[in-house]
Amino acid sequence: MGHLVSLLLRGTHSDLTSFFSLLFLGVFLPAAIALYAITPSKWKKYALLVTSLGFFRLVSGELVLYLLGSILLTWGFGLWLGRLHRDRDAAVKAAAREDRKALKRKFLLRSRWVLGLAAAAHIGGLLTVKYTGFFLRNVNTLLGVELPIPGFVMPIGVSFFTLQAVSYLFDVYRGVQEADGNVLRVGLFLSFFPQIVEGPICRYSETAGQLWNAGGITWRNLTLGLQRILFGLMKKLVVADRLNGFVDGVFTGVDACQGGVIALAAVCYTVQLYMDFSGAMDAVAGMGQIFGVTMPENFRRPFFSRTISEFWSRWHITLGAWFKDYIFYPVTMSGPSKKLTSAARKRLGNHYGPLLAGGVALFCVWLCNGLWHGAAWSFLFFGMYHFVLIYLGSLAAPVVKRVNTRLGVKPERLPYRIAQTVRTCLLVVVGELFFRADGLRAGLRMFRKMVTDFRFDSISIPMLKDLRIDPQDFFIVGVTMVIVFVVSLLNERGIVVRDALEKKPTALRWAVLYALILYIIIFGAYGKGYVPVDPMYANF
Amino acid sequence: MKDTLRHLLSGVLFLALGLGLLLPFSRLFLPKDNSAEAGIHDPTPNGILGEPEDTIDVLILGDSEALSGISPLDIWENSGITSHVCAGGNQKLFLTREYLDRAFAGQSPKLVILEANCLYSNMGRMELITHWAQRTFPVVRYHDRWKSLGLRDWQGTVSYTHTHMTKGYHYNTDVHPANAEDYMAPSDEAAAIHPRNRQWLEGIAEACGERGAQLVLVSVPSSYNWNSPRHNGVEALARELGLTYLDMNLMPREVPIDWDTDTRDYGNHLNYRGARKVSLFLAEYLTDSGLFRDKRQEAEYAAWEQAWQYFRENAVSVPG
Amino acid sequence: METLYEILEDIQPDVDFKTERALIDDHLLSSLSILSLVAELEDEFDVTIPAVEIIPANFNSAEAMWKMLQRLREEE
Repeated sequence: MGHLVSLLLRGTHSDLTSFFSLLFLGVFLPAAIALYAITPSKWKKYALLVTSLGFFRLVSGELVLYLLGSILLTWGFGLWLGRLHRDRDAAVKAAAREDRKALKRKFLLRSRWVLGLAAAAHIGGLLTVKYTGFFLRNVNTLLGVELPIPGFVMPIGVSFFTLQAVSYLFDVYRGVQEADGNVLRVGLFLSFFPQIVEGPICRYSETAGQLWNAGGITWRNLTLGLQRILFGLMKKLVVADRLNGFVDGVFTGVDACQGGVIALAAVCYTVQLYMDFSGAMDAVAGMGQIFGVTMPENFRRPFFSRTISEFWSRWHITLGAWFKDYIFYPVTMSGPSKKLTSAARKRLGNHYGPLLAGGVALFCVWLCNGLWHGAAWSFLFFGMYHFVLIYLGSLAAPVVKRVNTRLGVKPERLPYRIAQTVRTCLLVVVGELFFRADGLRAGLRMFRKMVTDFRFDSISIPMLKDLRIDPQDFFIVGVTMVIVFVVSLLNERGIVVRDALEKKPTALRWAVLYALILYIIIFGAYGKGYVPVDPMYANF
Repeated sequence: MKDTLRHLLSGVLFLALGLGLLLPFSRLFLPKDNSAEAGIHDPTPNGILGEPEDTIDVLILGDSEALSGISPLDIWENSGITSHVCAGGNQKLFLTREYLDRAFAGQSPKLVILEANCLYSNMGRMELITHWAQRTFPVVRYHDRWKSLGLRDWQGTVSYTHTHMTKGYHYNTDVHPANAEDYMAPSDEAAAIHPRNRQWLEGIAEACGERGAQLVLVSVPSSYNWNSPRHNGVEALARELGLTYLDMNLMPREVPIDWDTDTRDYGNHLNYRGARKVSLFLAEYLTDSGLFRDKRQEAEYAAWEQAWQYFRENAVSVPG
Repeated sequence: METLYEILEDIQPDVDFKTERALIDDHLLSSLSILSLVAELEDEFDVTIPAVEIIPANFNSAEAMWKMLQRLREEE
């Protein structure tokens, strides 16, 4: 027992942040499931909370205090806002009809202050731990001073659970969510261990109740959940980690690489990021299912998108939705924006009218999106890049439509759709190039090389060998991508492979599962010659 | 309840079948020869697999201290006793145990030397589990060979043909002097050995006992790694387990290491000059043990004489 | 209801609003076109649509929008 406690107190078991590490998959998760299973129904929620806080403690050590503080603040501010709403309702009821509007207004202003304070506390904390270094470094360079840069350690998942906290408070403020008096339920909502490392960013209405009322583990949920984790493991181990050495080699040794190689590396990085991140999300969803909780999906076949704006509603969905609900609409629906939109519509028409206010809001969204990913100019550029693409897309839409009609092009035809999809993917790849590059300057240099110095014949086998990858690696990556593609295609048509498999005879189901397991064991990029790769979104 | 039982049973069956399925794949993926071209990991210590059956008198285990401090060919030249080093950098006891078992499969050494530095590298639980899986199911260790599977792999016939030129010894003549002023300053302290390491050492001693091999702990001189507390720790453990312990750090007359010339990396490892001194001492020690006969004139051991000749001709220098 | 259809046709002519049930989920209405839609609805039906109401459930079909408008008018 003493040993267990000391293990818990030691903290910083960074292995655990990867859901696909042996320590997590082989030890922590089975222990968590076992603890959950043997806990009587009434107490299961507490088992989940203890496991979650313990997980955070193991990974981030004493920084668990930051999480606990965050939980208390969220709970407290939620109650304060709820209280204001109740007072308002009582006052409005008691007041004369003609005074009601003014009263409502008074309370609205007050709760707006409270929300501002709460958001400032949360976002302020996030800004402090995440951006102080970036800010001071730039101040130092710009002003030629040498302010000391404090080495803040970021608590694991701070970028994710902060957004969850703010969304809850925002919802309470808007009156779409009751304030929760139970600090433990708020705590479980923020800290549930599968979601805390890389999201998805959940809404209170989505998971808090489910987690709190999570029931026993059923055989069906357990097996289906494990299967989903297995699929994620394949994405991560066979594709993402196999590409890692090559991508890393090109991005850190840009000068030696030809444009064609850089283009290949940019494509590989995009694939790697998708497989790594969506694989981790498969694991989260699978773990959720084991505990009987449906987690929101974070990816919906993003590379099937026809436009950049569609891409962002299919890639890291919960982040995009967060920005839309808590930045985009609040900005565009605010009084001044609405006035601007109305006025602009009269002059510019229905299409261009809203683009003024919408543009401002969109700019804010992408500024935040870029900065959320990290404090660096390259991330800001990444945000602005997508802002410009989406905005241009909207500006050009009527023109494109007119041209299409004039030329007799039918946008619903397959070739046109495929062309659109390919174009969107290429634009995404360029964006990811800047996203991954070691600073904005390196990104620009790589982009220039890729455009001005592109030759297919620069990609040769000896050159690839130098970069720790060979045609066989690409072959197996390709095969796995086809598997993922087929599964995606089925998903797009509403067929879930695991459910379909469930109805088949046991022999067939087991054969498929064994095949998948052996596939991962044989073709996974692990062991001698490979470096284990940390989950790519855990540091954002 | 009935359902739970049924589920539990099918879960166990699924796992058992799955593990069983790994066996044929393990056979397929296991390298069919012990050469680097055949895909074996660490061909140097695994060179022992290619030595003719029952020709190795002494097995030398340990970590990088052993592989850079003990030269079997120099022992041969001075005593006619055959030995092989089975050691890798930062090798821990679980791998040492694997090499011991692998060596025992084809050899019957009468004496096993374990360099003691590895008693102080601790083993994590995860490492142990990973190693167990790799050892039990070679497909886990050698899965990356899917890129080079050939006809022979499907036929499954294993034959080891590779022998290592210097019998597991890592030849190096760099000189980077060490500052060895306070080295081995007397102390009453004893550095603790992790209970898990102790347990594994006991297992190794037991295995040696079963095969009638004498286990000897030695410390190759290292001003960087060794000190009196570590000496005391190993000595106490050796006494407890009834093992001989030779600490060459404390034998300046028998093993006169000059820290200005005999180390390749500031006292961490010995270079060939240092290794030669250690090996000469060991040759004498092994001869004095009376366990072995001098085989230098025997025809079956001509390959050893050739290996020594080749080494002497190709090594940059063989001092004194 | 007819007025609503007219407004929708005007903003996004190539969609069949009478049958479509997943306007938002299927990306037939983008966030920017929702802006003009909201402005138009507010003018035409004389209601204020707060940001909270802009959720897929309220905009996935013409019918859902109609229900939301009715509700907002009653609350006014």
